Amino acid sequence: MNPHTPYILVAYGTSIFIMLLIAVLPILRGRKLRQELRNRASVENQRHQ
Amino acid sequence: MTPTRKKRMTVVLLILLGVGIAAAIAMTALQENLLYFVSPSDVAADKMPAGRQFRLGGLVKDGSVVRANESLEIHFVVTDGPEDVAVVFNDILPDLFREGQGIIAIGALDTAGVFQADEVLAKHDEEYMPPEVADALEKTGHTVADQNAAAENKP
Amino acid sequence: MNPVMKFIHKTGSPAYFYWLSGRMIPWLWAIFAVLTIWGMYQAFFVAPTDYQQGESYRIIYIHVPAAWMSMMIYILMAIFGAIGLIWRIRIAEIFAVSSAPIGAAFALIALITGSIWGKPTWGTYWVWDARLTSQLVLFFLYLGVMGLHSAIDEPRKAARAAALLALVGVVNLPIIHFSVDWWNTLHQGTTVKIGGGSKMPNSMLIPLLVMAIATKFYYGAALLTRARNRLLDQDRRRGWVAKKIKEDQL
Repeated sequence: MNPHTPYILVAYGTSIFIMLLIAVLPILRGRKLRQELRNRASVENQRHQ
Repeated sequence: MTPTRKKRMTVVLLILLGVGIAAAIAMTALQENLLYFVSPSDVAADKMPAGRQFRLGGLVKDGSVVRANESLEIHFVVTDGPEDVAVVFNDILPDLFREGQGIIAIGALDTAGVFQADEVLAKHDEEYMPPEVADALEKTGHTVADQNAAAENKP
Repeated sequence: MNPVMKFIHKTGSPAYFYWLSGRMIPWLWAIFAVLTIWGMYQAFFVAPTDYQQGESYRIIYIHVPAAWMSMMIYILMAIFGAIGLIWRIRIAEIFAVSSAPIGAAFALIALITGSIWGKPTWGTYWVWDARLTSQLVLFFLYLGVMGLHSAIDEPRKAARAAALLALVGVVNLPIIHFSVDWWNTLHQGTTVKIGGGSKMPNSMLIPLLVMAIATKFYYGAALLTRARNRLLDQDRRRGWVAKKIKEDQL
């Protein structure tokens, strides 16, 4: 194995982890927020009927 | 643009200007401390006092590297062209260390004017190329530095 | 009203922005993925080894795009912030605030990968030279903008305070860029130059530029995702959100 391989793997591993974190967290948050808003709307609808 | 917006824009521009001037003044005042290393010419001119810790930067002079037989001790000369400084180091060198390489040595001058390095860092240049190209340049008698100089002299 | 302002006002309408960004995000992710896969393949299997640094130089393909992005995003954040401060356009404020975590991530990636690269090449993980220090300051500026924003409850006041700090920090950008020319640094000078004269053969340079473009699409997708969330959160009681829910378009 090339002596530099571990350095390259750690560098890319950390970078991919950070980029995934920054991309995925808001997607999950957005999904939760939309679900919450839809639920609230349907509860209010039932109350009106 | 409405007067309020014009006023806000002026405030924004004034902030940028003010901070810019402040930073410029601070940097001028700190110029000396922001220098990461001093060159052999600076050493020759300033006469850095013996025992005072500083960082010495320059090229490892061709043909100057002498390794001890039984220990890690290594002697070499750091040069910036006009001036030379002799360096002694007694630890593991970075992979990129070789003659002609830019390096930074951290340590202090002893009373004999020899730089006793505690740490040696290699400074690589902004040049990237495949090894075959570097070999080919070497064979035709051109060094990477020559090619750089040629590129810079181009109109 | 001139056409530029008209366009800004139209895209600034929350419902329209929400719809448009929703359509754009999947495309941005797709382009990012294609460019990244191609760029990484080139970077690892096609680009030659460096004559001096050997294989370790391949870290450049994440390090340099991340460092460029950390600076570009900061400039954009300050511009969005200034637009928000002067014209009080809410979507610009949201863009500025949403840019900060993405920029901070890129600044951190540049610092970490640079540090890992430094060990085999320089012989040290970290030195306090002008380039490394000013890049660290950039990372803390991002954290400062995020911290200040989250410290104020009222969203629009928070955005304006954060924008002011972002503007003040702009002074750091020329320092980062020119640090390698202005001072003796351990970090080497600029390799890639706009307008030719890059000190790298095309076989190494092209994957680097592809990765640099890929990260811009990443920023676009991540920014719009965050901006949509923020907009929806702020407008949860507004009419357009109720209408979208009724139409099942949320």
